[in-house]
Amino acid sequence: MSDPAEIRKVLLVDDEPDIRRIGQLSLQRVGRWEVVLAASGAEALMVAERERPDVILLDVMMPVADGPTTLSRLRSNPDTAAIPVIFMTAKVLQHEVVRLLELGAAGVIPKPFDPMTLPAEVRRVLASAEAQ
Amino acid sequence: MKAAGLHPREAERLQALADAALLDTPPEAMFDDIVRLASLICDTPIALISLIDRERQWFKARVGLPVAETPREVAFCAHAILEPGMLEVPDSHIDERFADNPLVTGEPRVRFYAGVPLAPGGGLPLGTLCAIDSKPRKLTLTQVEAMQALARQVEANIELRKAIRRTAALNDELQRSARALHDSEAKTQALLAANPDGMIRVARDGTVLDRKVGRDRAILPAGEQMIGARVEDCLPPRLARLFMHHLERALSSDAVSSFEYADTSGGAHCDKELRIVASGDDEALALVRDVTERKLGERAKDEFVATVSHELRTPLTSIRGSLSLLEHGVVGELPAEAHELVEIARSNTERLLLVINDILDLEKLSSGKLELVLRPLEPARLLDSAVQAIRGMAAAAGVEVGVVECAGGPVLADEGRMIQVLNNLLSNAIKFSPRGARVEVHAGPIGAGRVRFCVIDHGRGISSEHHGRLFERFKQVDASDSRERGGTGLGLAIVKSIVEEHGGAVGLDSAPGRGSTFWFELRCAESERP
Repeated sequence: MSDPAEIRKVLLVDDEPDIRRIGQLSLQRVGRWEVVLAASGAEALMVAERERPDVILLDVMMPVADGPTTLSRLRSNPDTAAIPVIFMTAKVLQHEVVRLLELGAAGVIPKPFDPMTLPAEVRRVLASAEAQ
Repeated sequence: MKAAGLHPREAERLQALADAALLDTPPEAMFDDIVRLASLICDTPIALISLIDRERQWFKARVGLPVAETPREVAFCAHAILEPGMLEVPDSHIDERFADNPLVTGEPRVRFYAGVPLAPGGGLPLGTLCAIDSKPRKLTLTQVEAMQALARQVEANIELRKAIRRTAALNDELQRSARALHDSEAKTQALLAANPDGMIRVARDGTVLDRKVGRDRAILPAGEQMIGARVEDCLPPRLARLFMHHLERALSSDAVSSFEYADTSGGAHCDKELRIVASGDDEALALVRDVTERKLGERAKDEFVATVSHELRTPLTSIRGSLSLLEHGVVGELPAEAHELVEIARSNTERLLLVINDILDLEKLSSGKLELVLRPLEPARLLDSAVQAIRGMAAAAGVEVGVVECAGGPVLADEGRMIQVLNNLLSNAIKFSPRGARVEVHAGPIGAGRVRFCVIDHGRGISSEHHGRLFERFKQVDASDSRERGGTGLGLAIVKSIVEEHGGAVGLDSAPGRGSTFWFELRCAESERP
């Protein structure tokens, strides 16, 4: 499901604890969503399977399993294959964004994000993915 | 006595005499022999080679006469040089020109005189070969002919001496030239030897004429057999094409044409730079330098800058995010003073991020990593977008921004980068404008195929001594500006780099109290078409 109006739970995956905490506060307090966290790609797979979030915000640059690797693993598990994934990245060059979208992401949100507008960004990305 | 008149071309004659370089020179056996022969042939006690100088006659060779010269006015020879052939005076006592001449009435008591003019090379007479006796007499025809033959010998000898002197002078000149050439060649060789670059001399068609191995032995792909071969046969095809392209470019201009390439011919990877410069109408010098170390350094610097900026940006992003959440009361309302401090912290964080982004931009520009997407852009649309983007800042500063005039055809530029350029210039103009003032932008054609964009403010203006420095990094007119007005001090440096990357130019017209006009010029899209 990817109707932005029906988001209840968000999984935020980032190896930086500060970014996780700020994102968590933003999504909870500004977005009014339930937030679950993961610090690595491997943890993300477990949490996603267990929590079944409505959307996953996935950092691209992570050690061991990076964002694209994690996405393909999520897709290969039937329980998590349909969950929309939004990449978060500091590399916003056009060809990078195109590459990430081609991997099957719903969209790309540039880093650094503004915590006051992050939830609105998530809704916008999901709405435009839905429209396509 | 009747003194001889001057020769009709006396000045020239005296010059020819000086040129012969005989006057006041030591005796010479060859001339001495000739006068001895003259004396024997004519059977006279005296024979002379006399040269008629301005005021005197001087004897280059003499027999039977103890003096080296006499005044010109008494000289028989001064008469003889005015005659076309030989002057013969059989008896001076009955010749009114000479009867009372002191040389007749006194020693050496000249009674008989016969003188043949000496005119070397058929030119002007310099003097005579003469025979003198104290008895009256007349020369036989044979004696006259012998005297004339001897005179021709003297003339030939004078000519020969002149030729020898000319040859010697030429020889000196040649030797000087040879020495100069040798010195120059030695300097060139020293320069070549001191230059670490490998070098080849190559003809327009790509034939290798000459080569010099550089400090890095493996710098040229083939050995001595390169000479006489074609570049196409010595280099890999892609490199050969590049080479020929730059060779043609160098030969059709005065400029050095250069390119860099990766060379793996030696086994290991090397970065090389090849510079080609015309060294004649149809040949050029190509210099090859190993730039592997420089490239390694550049890459290390790029990585360093990227790492540092990432390491700075990551914590700053967290700081900014935290402050933003605090400031907006997401985790609870803050007391007024705490709110103020959070606002100070947040705005300074923004400034730091701006500096880091600007440094990254400049780094990309200076390392040529900025990829420009060039396409034809309408100046009007560019200006409108830029003005639209700056509205918020202008309104906050109480400054009005407007496009006053826009003409000129589409320019060839990268839209995003041009908006960045205009944004930097506009935000400067707004920062330095008093509240209520107006900032104007316009664009118009200038010269052939170029459009000039101007951003005009009515601020305090800038004195000319600061104009040059303004486009340098971290240069603001007043160090307090960056604190009072915000900004990184990199904006104009970025403007300059971006515009120059487009092949354009930037500049400034300003004076204290008269506001400032910052401008930049870009090529029109049409001028790109052949």
